[in-house]
Amino acid sequence: MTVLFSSNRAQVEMMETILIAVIFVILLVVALAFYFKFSAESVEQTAENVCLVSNTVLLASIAATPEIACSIEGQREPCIDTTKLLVFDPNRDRLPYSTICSQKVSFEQVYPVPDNDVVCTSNTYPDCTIYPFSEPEGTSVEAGIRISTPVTLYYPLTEDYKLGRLVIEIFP
Amino acid sequence: MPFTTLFAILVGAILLLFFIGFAYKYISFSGALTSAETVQALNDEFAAFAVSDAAEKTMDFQQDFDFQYRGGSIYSGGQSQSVDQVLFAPAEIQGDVLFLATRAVELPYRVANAFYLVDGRTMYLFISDEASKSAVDSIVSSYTAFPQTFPHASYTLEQITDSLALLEETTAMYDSVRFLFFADPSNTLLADIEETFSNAEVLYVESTVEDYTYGDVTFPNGKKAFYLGYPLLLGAMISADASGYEQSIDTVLERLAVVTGVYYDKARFISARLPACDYGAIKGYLSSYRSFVNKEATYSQFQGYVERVDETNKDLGGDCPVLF
Repeated sequence: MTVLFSSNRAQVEMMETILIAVIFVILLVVALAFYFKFSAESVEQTAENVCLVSNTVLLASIAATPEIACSIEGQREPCIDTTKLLVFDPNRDRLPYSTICSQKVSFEQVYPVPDNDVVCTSNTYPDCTIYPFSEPEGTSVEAGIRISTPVTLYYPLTEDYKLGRLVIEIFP
Repeated sequence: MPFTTLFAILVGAILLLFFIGFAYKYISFSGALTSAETVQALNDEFAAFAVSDAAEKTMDFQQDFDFQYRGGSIYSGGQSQSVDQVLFAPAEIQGDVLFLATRAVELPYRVANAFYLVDGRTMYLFISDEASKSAVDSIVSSYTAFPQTFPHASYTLEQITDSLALLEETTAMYDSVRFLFFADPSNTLLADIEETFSNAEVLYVESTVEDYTYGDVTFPNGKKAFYLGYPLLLGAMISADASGYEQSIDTVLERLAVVTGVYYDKARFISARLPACDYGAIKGYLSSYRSFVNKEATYSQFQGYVERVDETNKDLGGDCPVLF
């Protein structure tokens, strides 16, 4: 009788210990799940910030790229050569800047205020206002953030200058 | 020992191992994240700096860093980031302060910006003779030539022959001393340098051009490579070895071919719109220049192309706009 009682008591104690261990592991798993969720969000946030900073830098530096920047009589000028925009294809000849996210880059005429939205090609130039520059491949999602800066557009054929805007649409 | 105690020890040991493993993983992950951010920030610095034709900057990281630069990528804490720009740097960059400089590469139009990254642990000594003194003076003192923030000094062959021991004392604080010879040193002088300095490297610059704007560089391992203009000469001086230098030269030549292609296409476009203008000559030169660009050529061949394209462009003007 005593042996039977002791055996039952031992079984109950063991069940208790296992139960506590199981509860502890469940709590641990839940805590870790929360921790990893917040960690992942934090890393995503960091990546977004880095992406935004890189694109802001890109906004400032892309206009100085020799492939599209003005060079007049050997001197670099702070403007964009529109004929270079027509002939240079950054999707073919990679630009020397990369970011950790995708972006679409274009130039738009702002002043004189355009009366059309014609995309510039060899055939439409110079009576056009939008110069598509680079576009990420296979991006179907909407651009999240749009940043822009004013630039001067130079037209070598007529030696005219117009006010434009460099636009970067970021796909985070 | 009762079963409960045994069970508690077992579970405790498993949990302890789990937490120790987790802590190590977290430290490693956190380090990797910081390294990735640092390297990306460095790449952004390059992009922002590329706006300038010539600029210098000292970056104080407030903590020790350890970068390796090889194969066109920067490595830090197990993380790597390929550098999109033309970067010249020693193989190991350590310390808490970085010295960054940039110069525009023009052949004859602007092709790219060359970046120089050092940690200030190497002293660069320019050695000239009578024939090369004025070239060295302009390389050392000109704002667009050797970065003023990088440790350097210039001597003539006579000065250095007489004061090697003193020079060794004054450069003792540097991990290495790089001698940049723009003159032919005697075998005795080279032997004396080897004997006096435990950390010296010798690099030779040769040129048939009076101002040394184009020429060849012989690296400490005896390998020779050409340079085109002072910005690339500075790159050779900074680079760890010939292979590191040639990696960046490949990038320059790649960019040169692309930019030349842009000017060629621009010439075609303008000549189609302005049929009265003769762009035939410059189109021909640009086309052959673009096809010619390669690493096996000599600096004289490059110089010939650069001068011809530049002169032909200068012949344009008036109603026929120049290309660059």
